Amino acid sequence: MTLEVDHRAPPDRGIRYFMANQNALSWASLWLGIGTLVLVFAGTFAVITAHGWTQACPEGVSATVCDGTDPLAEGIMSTGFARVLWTTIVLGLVTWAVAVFSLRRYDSKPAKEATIAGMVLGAQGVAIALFLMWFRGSDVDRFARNFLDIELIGSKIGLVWSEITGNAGTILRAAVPWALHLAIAGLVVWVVWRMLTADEPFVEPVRTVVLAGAAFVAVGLVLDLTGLLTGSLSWLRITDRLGDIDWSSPLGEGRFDDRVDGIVQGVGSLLRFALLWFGYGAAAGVASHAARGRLRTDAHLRVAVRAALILLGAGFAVGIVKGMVNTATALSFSRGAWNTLILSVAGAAIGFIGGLFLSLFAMSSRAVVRAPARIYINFFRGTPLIWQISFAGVGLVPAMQLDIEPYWIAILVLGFNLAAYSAEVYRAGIQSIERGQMEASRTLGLSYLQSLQYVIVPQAIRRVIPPLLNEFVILIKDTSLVSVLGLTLSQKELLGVGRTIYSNTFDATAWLGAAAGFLIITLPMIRIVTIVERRMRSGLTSVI
Amino acid sequence: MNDDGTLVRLDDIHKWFGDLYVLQGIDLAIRPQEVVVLIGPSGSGKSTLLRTINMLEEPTEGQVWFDGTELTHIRTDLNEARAHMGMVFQSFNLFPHLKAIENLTLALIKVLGLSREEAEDRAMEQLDHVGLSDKADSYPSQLSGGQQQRVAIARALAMRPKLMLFDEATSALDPELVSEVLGVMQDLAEEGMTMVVVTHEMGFAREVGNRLLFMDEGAIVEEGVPADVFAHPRHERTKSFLSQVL
Repeated sequence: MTLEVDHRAPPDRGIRYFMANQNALSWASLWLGIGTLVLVFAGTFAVITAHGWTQACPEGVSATVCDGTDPLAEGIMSTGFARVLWTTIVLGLVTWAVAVFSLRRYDSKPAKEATIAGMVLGAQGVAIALFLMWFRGSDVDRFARNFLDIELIGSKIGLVWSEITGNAGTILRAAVPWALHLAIAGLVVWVVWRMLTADEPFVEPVRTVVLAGAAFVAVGLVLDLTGLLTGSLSWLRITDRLGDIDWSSPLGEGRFDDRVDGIVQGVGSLLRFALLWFGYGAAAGVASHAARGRLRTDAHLRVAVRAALILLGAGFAVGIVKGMVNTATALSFSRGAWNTLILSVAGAAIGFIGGLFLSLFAMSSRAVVRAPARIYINFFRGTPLIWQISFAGVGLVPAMQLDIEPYWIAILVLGFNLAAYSAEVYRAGIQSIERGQMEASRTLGLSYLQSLQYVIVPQAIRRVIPPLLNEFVILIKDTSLVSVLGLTLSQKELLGVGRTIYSNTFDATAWLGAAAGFLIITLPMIRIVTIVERRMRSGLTSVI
Repeated sequence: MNDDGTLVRLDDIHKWFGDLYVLQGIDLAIRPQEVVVLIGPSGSGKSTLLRTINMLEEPTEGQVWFDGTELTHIRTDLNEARAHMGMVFQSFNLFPHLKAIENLTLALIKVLGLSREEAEDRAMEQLDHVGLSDKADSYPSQLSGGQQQRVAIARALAMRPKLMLFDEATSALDPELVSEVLGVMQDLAEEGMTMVVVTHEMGFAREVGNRLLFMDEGAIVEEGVPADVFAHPRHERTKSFLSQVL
């Protein structure tokens, strides 16, 4: 047996091989896709250039108030531009029609890839065209003057953002802090969990329901009374303090009225929260009823007693915070803490889920899929968050006259920003999973997406929990940047609250209060990160 | 089966990794119930060849046929084909986040479409077969290397494959654990499973293999009945390799 060891060079698998292996349909879908995307960009550029990019205003007259229609707006609203967009959409649809045929016929890998690339590019072109069409429905002239005012950038004049003003006349709400509600909600979950996991047999269903409700209402009333006292007291303290300032509003006129206001507010809060507590009690009762067969009555009593103790402890904790900052502002700080929590949790929900998909796109083997994800990630990582919030809230949304609340803008931008950062974290996590895992999964016949879903991502998520929690801690602090948006008093997060209180009272303790609020939220998170990391280091495969 | 009665047929397989020419025109036909053993020095391309059979490595040129389907054809559904051939890896590659039994049921449910109960029944039966039914609820990290590899074999077998590929299945094991895995493989061969085995276990190759292939520098240098090749290697490179490992 003679052996001829061949040392020939690898065959060409580059661009020439790619082009040589196309068929008519794959070739057509690739070029149609490229054409769609090029058309929407080149067409937009051409039409706007034909009409002019900016208005020639007299010296010293701002584009915002300059006479005549802005040429940029003219271009965007012109029928020529509409034709460009419609042609793009039609071309995109043609691309897809051709590609669908091509998908059934392709006979080589290059043809398959060209077909898919054509489809993706076509879809991207159509998506941009649809966005621009939707944009044409808004007040483009206003947008062009206020927003796409190229000359403004040319002359390097910074945008002037409206300053945030706090209004001392708007009084902080006297209420049991929302933070307590969080604790209570957590407690309800805990109680239900205890009920579901208790393994003692159940004795008397009805008594359990009554006890559950009664325990909660009792604890609630104790807390409400505390709330009433601190609430009305702090109200009085606020009005005392603010009384030193010369008010021009009717509110500042009579101290007596303020006291009456305070008591009315306090009683109101008592009623409101008694109702709320009743709800909690009922919920717990129903839950325990549902969990019947799993629980013994005295076990439930123990739970109720512990519940009361924990709630009281939580009340004390809040009381200490109240002592640290001044009593008058404590309620507002809890409001601020609540808002900080909402902003960061909602932002994290968007960011962590969006980031996962973004990372999968960013890791695609196809450049046409990868590119948009890369652009998104680099853009959001490459610009400051405060710019993004300001751009969306003070620029884009008002200029396009979108009906989105500043609060929602804040959540969306925080989420979009976090998505970019968490995408990189997920990418690192997914790429850290041994190649053999994907291979073993594919060998069993699972598809690429199934392998990601059932094998790779579940493992990667465990690995990225610590870095994602770190991103979350950063996000909590970054929520303070939403103070550039014009949020109402009750929407303000911790920094906004601190700043407003300071501007009302010139008492710098307000800043300490904001810091305390942040620390109360972030320190447990930081602690959790440490614990999770330690558990992972100790070699446990299953962390959650 | 393919038209010519083979289960697997490789036609003129060439594979490059960049400029590295790792498979230099391989032709190989495997009949049902045959146990083919691949040996050779490291870097000879035997693992790549094995991975070409289930298309974990796509050959740069050449055709792979399995059970009447050309796997190298662009329109072939590889997932469907792979569901009918099992593979066992050197590093086990069990899914660490799943219990032993879930490692088996995942593909049964998601690929074969069995119900959870059916899948669990079949998985338990298969774990029992490799003597690990008592470890069904253990995570891979709680098992020894030999146990992990037996679970990995059970995972592949639960799919009721027509072909089993073993890629140095015992190389990562402590010496005292090797025999339990080899025992399972030997049982499998005796039950009539078609197998392609890349191994350094020359004893196993001699006892269990029907056909021995010696590979070097990306080509099959010598092939024959294992006992003959071990006793009378014809090629110089086979001789020097065997003298080093035996």
